Amino acid sequence: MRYGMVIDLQRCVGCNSCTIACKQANGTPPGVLRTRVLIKETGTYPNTRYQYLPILCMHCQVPECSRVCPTGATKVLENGIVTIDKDACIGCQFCVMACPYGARSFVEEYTSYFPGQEMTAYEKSQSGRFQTGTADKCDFCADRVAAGELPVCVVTCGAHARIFGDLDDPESEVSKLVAQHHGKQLLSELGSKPSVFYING
Amino acid sequence: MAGILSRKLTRRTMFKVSAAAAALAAAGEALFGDLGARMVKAQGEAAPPYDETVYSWCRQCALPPCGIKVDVKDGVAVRVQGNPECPSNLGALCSRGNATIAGVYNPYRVKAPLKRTNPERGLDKDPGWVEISWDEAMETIAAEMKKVRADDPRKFMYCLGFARSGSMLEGMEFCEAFGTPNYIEVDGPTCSVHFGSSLLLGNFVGPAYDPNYTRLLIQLGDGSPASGGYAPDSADFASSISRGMKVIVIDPRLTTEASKGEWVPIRPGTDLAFILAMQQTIVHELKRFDVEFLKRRTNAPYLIGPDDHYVRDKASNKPLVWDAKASAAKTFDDATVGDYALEGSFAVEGVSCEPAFAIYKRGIASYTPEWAEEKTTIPAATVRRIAQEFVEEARIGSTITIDGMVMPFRPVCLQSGRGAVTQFYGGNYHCAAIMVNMLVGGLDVPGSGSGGLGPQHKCTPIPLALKPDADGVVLPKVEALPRAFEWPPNRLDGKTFFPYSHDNPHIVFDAILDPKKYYLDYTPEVLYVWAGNPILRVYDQEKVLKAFEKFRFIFTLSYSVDEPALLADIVLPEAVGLERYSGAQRGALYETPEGLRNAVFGMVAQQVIKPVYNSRQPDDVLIELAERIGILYGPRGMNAKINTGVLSPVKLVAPFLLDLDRKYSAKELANLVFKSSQGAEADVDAQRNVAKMRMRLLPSRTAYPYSGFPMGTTRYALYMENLLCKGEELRGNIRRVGAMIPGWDEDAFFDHYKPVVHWMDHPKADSPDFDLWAINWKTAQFSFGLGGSVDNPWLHEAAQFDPYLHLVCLNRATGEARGFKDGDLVWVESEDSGCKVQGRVKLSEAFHPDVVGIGGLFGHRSQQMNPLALQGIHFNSLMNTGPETADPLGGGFDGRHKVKVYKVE
Repeated sequence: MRYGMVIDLQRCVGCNSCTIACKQANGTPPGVLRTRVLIKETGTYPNTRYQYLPILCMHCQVPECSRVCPTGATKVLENGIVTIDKDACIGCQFCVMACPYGARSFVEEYTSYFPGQEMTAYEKSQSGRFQTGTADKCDFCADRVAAGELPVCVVTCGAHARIFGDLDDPESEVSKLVAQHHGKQLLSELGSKPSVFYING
Repeated sequence: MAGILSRKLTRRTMFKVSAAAAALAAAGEALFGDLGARMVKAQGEAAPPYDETVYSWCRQCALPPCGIKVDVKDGVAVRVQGNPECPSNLGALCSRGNATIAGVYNPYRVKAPLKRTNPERGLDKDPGWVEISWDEAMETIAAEMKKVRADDPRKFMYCLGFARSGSMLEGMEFCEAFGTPNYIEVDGPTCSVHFGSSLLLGNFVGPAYDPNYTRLLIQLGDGSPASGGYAPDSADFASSISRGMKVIVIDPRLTTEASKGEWVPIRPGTDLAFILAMQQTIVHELKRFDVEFLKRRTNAPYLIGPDDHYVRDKASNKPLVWDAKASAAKTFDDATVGDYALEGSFAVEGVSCEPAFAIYKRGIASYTPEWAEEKTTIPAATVRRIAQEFVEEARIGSTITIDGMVMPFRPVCLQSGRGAVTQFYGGNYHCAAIMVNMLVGGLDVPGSGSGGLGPQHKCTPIPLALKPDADGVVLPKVEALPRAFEWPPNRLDGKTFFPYSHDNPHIVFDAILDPKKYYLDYTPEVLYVWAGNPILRVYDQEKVLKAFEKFRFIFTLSYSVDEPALLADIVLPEAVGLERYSGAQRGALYETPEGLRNAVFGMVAQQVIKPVYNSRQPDDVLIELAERIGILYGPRGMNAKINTGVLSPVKLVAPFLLDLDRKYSAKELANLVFKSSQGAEADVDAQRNVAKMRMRLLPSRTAYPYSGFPMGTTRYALYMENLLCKGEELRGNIRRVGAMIPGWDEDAFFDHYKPVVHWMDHPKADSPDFDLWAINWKTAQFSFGLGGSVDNPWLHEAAQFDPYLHLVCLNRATGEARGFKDGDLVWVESEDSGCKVQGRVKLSEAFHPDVVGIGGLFGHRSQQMNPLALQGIHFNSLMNTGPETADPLGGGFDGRHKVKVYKVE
C-alpha cells in the first residue's frame, strides 16, 4: 500500500478551490497552506501559456524532511503517507528548510484571520487542533482516508484534476494514469521518490 | 501517525493523546485504516465529530447552482463542502464556496441595527452610529416610507445587485405593491449579455457550448467555462478538453481557456469586425454553409420589399417566400414549397422584392478579413483559417440520435462573454455572433451552442423557451419583449429610450442629477440599498456620491458597512447564506443508472446555524416592512404579487399559493417553493439532514431546445425584421412626443435597429493622447463581488497566487518601449471619465500590445470594512460616464476605455 496522487495539469484551471478547501478541512491558521496552486506565465507573446502547478507534500519515499528531523517526528508510514508526530516535533524547522518542495510551514502560534479582532467562533473551534511551535504539512487527509473518504482537495476540485489512490496496486486509477501518461515527479533528480505524479503537463 | 490521529483527539487531555500515540507507535505495523478504526474504538468515541450535518445551498455566486453539506459543532459551522448528491456540482465546490465560513464569522459584519446620529453624510465622516432595536429601526423606516408613498411613490428607489441571488423575494413584488417603478439593479451594465439571445434565441443567455459534444469552441471576451472558477463549469470544461475539444480564444488577454487551446489576441472593442469577417469568409469566400438550415430553420428565404419589411400575403398576412420550383410566391409555412429561393429578384403583386438572404449577403460583402485586420490586428489569414476550421468541424448535414430522436449534429460553437458584448455596439454584436453559428446550422442542437435560461431559474425546461411567433420566427423573450412606450417617463432608468436594456444604474444616477435630460418631473427622495453597491459598481464614484446627496432618507440591509451603508440613516444587519432559508429549482445533466438524464431538482437552503449576530434575512425584512407600510395584504398587496409568479425568481403553483391575508416567514415561503417544484411531500425540515435531492428526471434530449421545436416548426432570424419594427415604433413615438434621446443623435442611435448586422464606427473619435485600451476581467476568487468576497481573508490568501492581482498589466514590449519596468508606480488616466487610478506595473506576455489590463473590481473606500477590502484598483473609474455611448439595445456600458499610462512623479 502506497497512497499517491496524480495531478492532471491539462484539467487544472488554477482556481485554487483546493487551497481553500484544504484550509477549511484542516483549520490551518493564516499563512499556512498545505496545498496551493502556483500560476506562472510562460512563452512569449502571442505564444503565451499559463502553467498551473498544484503543489502539496509530495509524500516522498525517501523524504529529506525525515532525514534531517532530529527527533524522528517525521516518518513514512507503511501506507506511504509522510507524517509529523506533533508530540515529538520540537519545532527546530530543519524540515521546513530541507523540503525541496516548500511544502512545510511552521505554526508558531494560532492567530486570527482578522488582526486586532477577537478570534472568531470558527477559529476558536479549530485552534485546539494545532500544537503550536510545530511543523505542519499535508497528510493526504489521513483521517478522511482512514474513514474511506478521499482527500478534500480531490473531492472539491471541479475540474477533477486530482486523482488519489494506491500506487502499489497496478489496477488502481492512479497507477494506470502514471503508466499511460508517463507521470512525472517534481525534482525527481533529487532521488526523493515523491508519491505525487503530474500528467499532461 | 500519532501526530495525525491526535488531531481527532483535541478535546482530550494531552496525556491521553500521548499515551494513545505511544500505544499506536508500538503497534506500528498495521495499515493506517485499521489503526484509525482501532484508535477510535480504543478511545471509546461513540459520538460523531459533529453534532449535525446539514445539506443546503451555496450562495457565493450569482444564480448559484451548487449544493453544499455543512458540518455543525456546538452551533458553529465548522466545515462547508460540496454535496456529492447534488446533480450540478457532485461534491465539488469553488474557492468562494469553500471560503463561506470565513465570511459568516467575519467580525466586520453589521451586528445590530444602526442609526446615524451625525446628520452630515460623507465617506470620510463618522456617522456616529448608535445601535437600536429592530423594532425601532423598522418603525423609523416604515414611517419614512409611508410619508414618501403618500407624496409620490415613484420617489422611492429600490437598489440591489447580484448578492440578492438565491433569495426568494428580490423586491419587484415589493416595488409593484408600493407603486414605484424604480427597481434598480446595479449588477448588469458591465455585463449586458442578454439582448441578442433574448431576440434571436428566445432565451436569457447563450449560445453556450455543449460539454458533451462540442468539438471546436470559439470564445470571444468570455471566461465563463474556466477562468471564473465555477465548479460545475470547470468540470464541464476540463472534461471537454480531456476528450479533445479544441478551444480558440479571441481575446485581448490570455485566458485560462486560451491557455488550454489557441490564443488569438485582438484589439479591444473590435470583436464585431472579427465576427463580420467570419461571416464574410464563410458566405462569400468558402461558400460553405448549411443551406437546408437557412431555408427551413431561418427567415433567410422570406421576401423583403423596398421598405425593408417582409412582403406579406394579403389574405393571411403571413410573410412570403419564393418557391423556385413553382416560380411563385407562397407563405413561409406552405407545405407545397418545392425549394426556397435564397437569392434572386422577384416581383410579387407589383412589389419588387428579394429573399432576406440576398440582402444579408450583400450587406456583409465588404467585411473582408483584410478589412477586419486593420481594426482587430488579427491577420487576415488567421480569420480565414478559423472560418475554415469552423465550417469543416461543423459537419454540416450530419445527425445524431439521442433518446430515440434524430437531431442535427453540429459540434461547433462560437460563444461570447461580456468582454465582447459589453460595447456600444453590444446588442448588434451579440446578434451577429449568434449568426455565425446560424450559418452552419449550429444552434440549439447537440454539439452546438444552445440558448439557456441560466440555471433554469423559473422551473422551465429549456425547450419550452423556444417558440415561434405569428411570422414563424423564434418569439423574442426576456429583454427583447415589447415594452410599452411610457410618456412622460416615470422610470429613472431611461427605459423609455432604451426599452430593451438589461438594467441601467449608470443612467439612473445621471437622471437623478439631471432629471430634465430624461424628461422626468421628479427626483427620488428615499433610497433602499441591499445586495449591491452602486458606489463601487457604477463607474464615476463622485457622480454617484453627488446623486446620493439628493436623497432625504437612505436605509440599507448590509453585510458590512460598505459605502452605501456608511452614507445611510439606518443600517440593518443582513443574515448571510448559512443563516437564511430559501428555495429554488435548478437543472443539470445527471448520470443515472438508466443513463444520462436532464435533472430538474429542488434546491433548499436551510438556516444551517442561528444568525451569528442580530441579523435577519432579506425576505423576512421585506415582508415585515410591507406589513408595516400596509402593502402586504389583499388583492393588490405583495402576497398577491408573489402569487403571479412573473416578478420573483421562484414560481409558486397551486395549491401552494399564498393566502393573501397571511404573513409568511421566510421558512414557510421556502417550503412552498420546494413543494411547488417537487410536490406536496417535499418538506424543508425533512430535507435538512438528507444528502439525496428531490428531482424530476427528463430525457437528456430535453437539454437541447431543438427537441421541443424541430425542423419546420420554428425559424431563427438571420434578417432581424423584428428589430427593425421595434426601432421604427420607438422612433415614431419619440418623434410624436418631440423628445431627444439623451446623449444621442437620432440617426446614429437607430443605426443599431437595422435588420442586417453591420459595422459601426465608435461615436467618439480616437484621441492620440489616449493610446491604450483598458480592459478588465473577473477573477476566480472575487467574481460577482458578492458573498462578502472582498472582505474574506481566505479568498485574499488564495488570490495571492494570481500573478496579475491588483496590478496594472502591460504587454512587455509595450511597457519596455515606454520605459516601464515591473513595480513602477503609474497613473492610468481615462479619456472618457477624466478619472485616474494608480497602480504598480506588471509587464507580461499575456496581453495584447494595445492594452492596459486591470483585473477585478476593488478599491473600497469605507474605513469600516475589513481593511483587506480597501486594497486594489477601482477599474470602473475608467469607464465612460454618460448615456452617449451606452449600447442603444443592451443598454450596457461602452467597453471601450481609452486611457494613457504615465509614471507617478
